[in-house]
Amino acid sequence: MSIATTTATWAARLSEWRVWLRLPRRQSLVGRLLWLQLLWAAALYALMVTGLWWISGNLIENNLRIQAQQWVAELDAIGIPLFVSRDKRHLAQIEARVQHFPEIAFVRYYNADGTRLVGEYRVGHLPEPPAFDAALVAEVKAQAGADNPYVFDDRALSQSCVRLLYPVTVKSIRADGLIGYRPDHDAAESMKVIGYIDLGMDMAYYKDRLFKVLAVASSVIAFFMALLVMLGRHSVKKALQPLTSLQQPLARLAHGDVDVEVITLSGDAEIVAISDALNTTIAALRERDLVLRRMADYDPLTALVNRGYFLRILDDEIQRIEQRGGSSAVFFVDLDQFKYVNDTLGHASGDRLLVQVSQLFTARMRDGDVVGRFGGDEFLILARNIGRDGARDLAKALNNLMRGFHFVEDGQVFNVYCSIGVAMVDSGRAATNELIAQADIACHEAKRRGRNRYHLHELADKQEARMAADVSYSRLIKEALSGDTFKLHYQPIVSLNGGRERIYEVLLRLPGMDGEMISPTAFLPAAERFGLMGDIDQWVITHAMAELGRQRDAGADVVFSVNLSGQVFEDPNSFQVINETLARYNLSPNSIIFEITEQVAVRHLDRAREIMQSLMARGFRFALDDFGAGFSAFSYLKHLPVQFIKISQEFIESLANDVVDRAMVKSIVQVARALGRQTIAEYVQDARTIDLLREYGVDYAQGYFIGEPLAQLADAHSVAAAVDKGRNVVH
Amino acid sequence: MYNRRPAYGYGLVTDGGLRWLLWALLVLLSGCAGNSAVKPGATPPDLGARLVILVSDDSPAFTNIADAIQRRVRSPAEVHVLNSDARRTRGALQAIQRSPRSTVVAVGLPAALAARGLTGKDMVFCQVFNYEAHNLISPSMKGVSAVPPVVEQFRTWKSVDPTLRRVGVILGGGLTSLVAEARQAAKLNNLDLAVVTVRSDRELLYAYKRLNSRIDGLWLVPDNRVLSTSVIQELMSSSIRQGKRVLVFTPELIRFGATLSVDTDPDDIAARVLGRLATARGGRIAGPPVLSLGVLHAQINPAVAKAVGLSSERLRREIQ
Repeated sequence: MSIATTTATWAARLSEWRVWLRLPRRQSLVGRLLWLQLLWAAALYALMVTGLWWISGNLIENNLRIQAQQWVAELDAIGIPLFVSRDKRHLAQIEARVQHFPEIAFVRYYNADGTRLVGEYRVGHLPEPPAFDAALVAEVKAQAGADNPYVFDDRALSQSCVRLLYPVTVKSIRADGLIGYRPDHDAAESMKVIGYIDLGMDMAYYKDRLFKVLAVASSVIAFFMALLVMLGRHSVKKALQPLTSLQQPLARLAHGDVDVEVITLSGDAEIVAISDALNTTIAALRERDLVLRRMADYDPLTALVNRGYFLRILDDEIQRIEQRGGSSAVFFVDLDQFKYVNDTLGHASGDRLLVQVSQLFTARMRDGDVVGRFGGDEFLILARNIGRDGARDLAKALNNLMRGFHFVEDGQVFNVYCSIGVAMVDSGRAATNELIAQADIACHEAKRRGRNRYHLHELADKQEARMAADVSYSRLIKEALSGDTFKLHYQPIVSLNGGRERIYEVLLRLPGMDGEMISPTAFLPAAERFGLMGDIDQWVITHAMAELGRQRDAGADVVFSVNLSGQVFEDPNSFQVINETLARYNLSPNSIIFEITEQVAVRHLDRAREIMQSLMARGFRFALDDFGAGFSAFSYLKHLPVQFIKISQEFIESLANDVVDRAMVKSIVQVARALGRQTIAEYVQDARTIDLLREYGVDYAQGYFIGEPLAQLADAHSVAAAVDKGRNVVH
Repeated sequence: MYNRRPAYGYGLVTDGGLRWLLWALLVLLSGCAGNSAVKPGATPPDLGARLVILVSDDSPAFTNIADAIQRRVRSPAEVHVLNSDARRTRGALQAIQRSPRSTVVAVGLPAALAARGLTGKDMVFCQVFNYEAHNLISPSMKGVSAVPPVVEQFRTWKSVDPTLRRVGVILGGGLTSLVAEARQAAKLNNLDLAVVTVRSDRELLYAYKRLNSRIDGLWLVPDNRVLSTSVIQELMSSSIRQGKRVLVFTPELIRFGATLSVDTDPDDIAARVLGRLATARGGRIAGPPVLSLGVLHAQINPAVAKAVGLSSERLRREIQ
C-alpha cells in the first residue's frame, strides 16, 4: 500500500471518527484552548503522580536506610549477649523487640569470621536473605572504627530490601592506660571485631502501604485536577465570552446584515479594541450600505425612486390595501416632447428637463405619495388613499401642471406636455406588474388619443383584451424561463466584401400554446411591462454562449450576435452573467457581438457608453440595431462605441424601388465609414438589394434572401450561394 | 589524718566556690599495710646510686612516681623512659643489663614487662594494675599496688555514704587477688559485693545494665581490658540516670558523675617501692608479691552526694 493510499485511508477514518464523535469540522478557539488546558492538566497530573511515586519511593528507601542505621545501633546494644553468652534465650528477647516492626525483614548476627550465625530473626514469608560472603565480610570489617561503620548492600534492592551490614566491635584501652586516666585526653584504644549484624529492611511493606496511600492521593489529585479543569473551562469560556459573543454579530455581518452592534461585555483592552474596531467597521458598512441602497433604489439623475424600488413600494401598497381596504392610484407619465428636446438640444439638456419635471411632480404630490422614474422620459407616481374621482382630478392637475411648465434652454422656451395612464389599486385584484402594465397601456391610449391628456384604465376597456394578451404572454414567458423552453434561432449575416467572418444573429422564439414559434416583437412588450426582460437577457446570453461553445468545440469558427435589452444596463448582474458564462465555455469575447437598439442606447446613454466601453476593453463588440428607425441622430454615433451599425429594415425592404431609401442608406454608410463603423443591412429579400448594398459599400447583409432564422446554423456554402446570386442580377 | 590537695581544681567543685566545695581527703592509712609500712626518709643513703628507674612513658602518672623516687634518694637514679619505642627499649634494657646498678624500678606495665627480661637485678614494679595476667611476680621482681587497699576504699565510701549496702564490680578475668581482697573488704565494711567478670567493654556495659537493679553502687576498677572511653562515659551517665553511686579510681571522673574517687599518692608509692628494694637480698625481694599502699586520696562529688541524699553537714562531719 502506498503512502498516499495510507494517508488517504487514515484521513477518511479520522473524518469518520469526527462524524461519529460529532466533532465540528472546524475546531473553535474555545475548544482548542480547552483541549490544550486538558492536555496540560493531564501532563501535569502524570508528572505529579510520577514525581510523587518516584520521590516517595526514594523517600522510603532513604527513610529505611536511616531506620536501618538506628535499628542496627539498637541491635548492636541488645545483641551483645549473643556474642558473650551464646544464650539463645536472648534471641527471643531480640525477636520480641523487633517482631512488632514489620519493616524488619531479617536480622542476622554472625560471628567474628562472618561464617557462622550466632542468632537470626526472619519474617517467614519473605525470601531468603542474601548471602554474607567473604568479600562482603572483608568490606564490612574494613568499616570498623569508621565514622559510619556500616555497608549498604545494594544487591538486596532487587528484592525490595534495604540491607545493612554492621561490624560489632569491642574496644579496650591500652595496657594499664587507666593509670592516670584523663578522659579529655585520647586514651589509646584497641578495637576488635567480635561479630557482624546483617539487617534487612523490607521496602515492600512500606511500598504496599505507600501504593495504597498514593492510589488515594492520585485519585484526590485527579479529582482536584478535574475540578481545576472544569474551573479552567469555565474561566476560559468566561474569558473568551466577549470574543465568542462577536461570533453571532459577525455571522450576521457576513450574511450582509449590517444592522448589528457588537456589545462589549468585557473590560479587556484587546476585546474592547476589537469591538470598537468592529463597530466602526459596521458603521462604515452601514453607511456604505445606505449609499448602495440609495444608489440601487434611486435614480441618480433625478433622485427619484427607480423602477425596482417603486415596484416594491407598490407591492407593499397592494398588500396594505388587501388587508385594510381603500384604494390608491398608479400614474404612468410619459413626456410628449422629451425626444424632441433631447434630439434638438442634446442629452444634457434632456437630463435637465427630466430633473425639472421630477421636481415639479415631487412638489405637487403629498408626503405619502411616491414619485419614481420608470426609465427615459417615463415617470411613475403612486398616489395613496385616492379614489377614481380623485385619481382623475390628480391626472388633470398633472396635465395642467405640465401645461403651465415651460422649459427654458439656451434662450429658447419649450412647452413640454405629458400623457398619463392611470390604474387604480383597489381590492387587490391585480399584481404589481399588472398594475404597471395597465397604467402603461392606459398611457399608450392617452397618447393614441392625441397626447397631453390622461386615460384611466377601466377593466371594461377594450384594452382589456390587450391586457389579457400581455398577461398570457407573461405567463408563457415565465413558463418558458422556468421550463427552459425558449428556443434560439440563428440567422446568418454575410459579408458583402469578401470577409470570411461567419456571423449569426441569435433570435429568440417563444413556443406558443399550440407549438407555434412566437416572434419577439409579439411578446417582448409584455415582457418589458411585466419586468421580465432581465431574466430573458440572461437566458439568451447563457444559451447562446453555450451553443457558441459547442459550435467552436465542433470546429466552426462562428460569431454570434446577441440582442440585449435596456434592462442589461440597469442590472449589474447581467454583466456578471456574461463574464461567468464566457469563462465557463472558454470563449473569446471577440466571438460575441452584442446588439442594442438605438432607443435603448439613447435612453441609457451615459450608463450604456460606460458599460459598452468596459466590455469592449475585454474584446466584446457592439452593434447598434435598427439605426434610423426612431428619432435617430447621427450625433449619437459619435458617442456610442459600436463597431457595427445595423441599418433599419424600413430603409432596406424597398431599397430597390425607393430612391429616398437609397439616399438614406448611402448617407448612413458614408457617416459610418467616416466614423470607422461597419454597416449591416437587415431585411434583405432579393438579389437586387444585395447588389445595391454592395454598390453602396454596405459591409454585411442579413435577410431571408440570404438565410432565414433556423434552429440550426445555416450551411456556409448555401449562404455563400445566396450572396453569389446577387452578382448575376442584370440591372 | 587528712591532707587537702589544692592542685585539683575541677569545674564542678570550684565553680562559684561558695555552693559546692571540693573536698580532697588524704587518708593516711597508718597500719593498714602491716609490716610493709615505710616512712619517707628511711631509705638507705646509697640506694640512688644503684638504682635504675624504667618509666613506661612520660605521662604524669608515671613520671610523678619517678620524680618522687628521685626526691627520696641522695644520688640520682638512672632513668629510662621507653615511650613505646622498641628500639629505645632494647637500648635501655641493654644499658641496664650492663649497668652495675643492681636495682630496677619499673613504672607502668610496659616498663615492667620490659624489665622482666633483665637478669641479676632486683626489680620492683608499680602502677601496674593487672600484674597477675602478665605473670610479673618472681623472686627478683615484686610490686607495689596500683590502687589503694580495697578495704580502705570501701571504708571511705561507706563513711561518706552509710546507706550503701550493695555494691558491684565488673572486671576482666584473672584478677583473683583483687577479687578476693574485695570480697574480704566488703565483708569488713558490711557490704554485699557482686562480682561480674566480662571480656569486653560492650559486655561490661551489658553486664552493668543487668546488674543495675541489684546494686546501690558500682565500684569501677581500672581494668583497661574491659573499659573504653565511650563505655566509661556511658557507665557514668547511666549511673546518674539510675541514681547509682559510683566509686572511681581517678578524680578525673568526678565531673562525669562519680560519687567518690580514691587515688594513690606518688610519694606513698615511691616510699613503698624504695622500701621494697631495701629488702632485696641476693636477687630476692622479701615480702608479699605486691605491697599495699598506705595512703589514698579521696574526693567526693558534692553535687552527686546531695543527689543521693548526702548532706553537706554530714559530709563535713565525716571529713572532720
